[in-house]
Amino acid sequence: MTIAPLKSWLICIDDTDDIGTKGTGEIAEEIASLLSEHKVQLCWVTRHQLFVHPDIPYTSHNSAMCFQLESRASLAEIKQVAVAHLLEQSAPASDPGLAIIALDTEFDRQALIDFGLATKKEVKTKEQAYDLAERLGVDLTEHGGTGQGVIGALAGLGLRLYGHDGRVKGQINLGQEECEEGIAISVAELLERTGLGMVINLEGEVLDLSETVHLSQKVKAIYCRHQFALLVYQHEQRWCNALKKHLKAY
Amino acid sequence: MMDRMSSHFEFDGQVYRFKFGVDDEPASRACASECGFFIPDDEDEQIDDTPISCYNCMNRRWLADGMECTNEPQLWLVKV
Repeated sequence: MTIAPLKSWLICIDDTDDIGTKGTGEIAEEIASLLSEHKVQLCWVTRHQLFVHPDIPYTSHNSAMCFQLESRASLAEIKQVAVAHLLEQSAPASDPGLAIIALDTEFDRQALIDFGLATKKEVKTKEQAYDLAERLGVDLTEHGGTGQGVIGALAGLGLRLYGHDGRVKGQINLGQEECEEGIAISVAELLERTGLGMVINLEGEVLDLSETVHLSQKVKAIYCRHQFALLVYQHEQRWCNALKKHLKAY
Repeated sequence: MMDRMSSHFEFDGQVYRFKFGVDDEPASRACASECGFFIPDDEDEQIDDTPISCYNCMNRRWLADGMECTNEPQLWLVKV
């Protein structure tokens, strides 16, 4: 019996929620968990902000949620799990979209990135999304309502491929949340304990491994330079984890 | 309730718009602290480090150039 090769996939969903229902990010995390072959696998979900405009039907913020998966499963198997969970968990009034692409295949990455970036500043149509998906070999499907979520789902793939967009869903807790004054930790230890790729300041400079970072309260990561990163700012002559107002730009 | 309405939101003909834009955390916090309808949104969607803030509320909706409160019509009805 031959074992299927391990392949890399990008999976993105959009428009699955409504006010008061389970968020799209949580549903994405659940799908990632269902699909992960090893429970230790890091499937961080990134949140990508899209255009907010009167012509776009969105609940309250218009963001898409994307994650990368390493799996031996086929597209059909991955899609079956994702669709079943979307149908089960999406809000009745939502318009869910699902986009899946195999990263190991040849496709016009720049076209997908361009679509993602454009969707942050202009109104796109379902027809445009489906046309591009067909041309690039993206598996793009809708699963209820108007299906408008296909636009954001496709855009989310592009923005994740772009590598400089999005906040990571959830928080990092290395003990600072239980400690009122926070904790001090070296960049090297922080990277080792979290799996993040780098620590970067507001000016875009990467901190040296020997530098010390002060963590307090809620710590969130961003996706930058194709890596999961901790954003920090200088406060009282020390590096501190970014505040929400700093993270807003991502 | 009417005081809060008039001091923080105004009806622009289409939506109940926050008067102070998207970068005035003190006003957003002051408004939410007086509101009995505040519900925290998903943490990943919050943008103010102070939890009780209209910017963090599940009932707020971002606009191209501001923020609306989707609960405001109900507040008017309560008042009337």
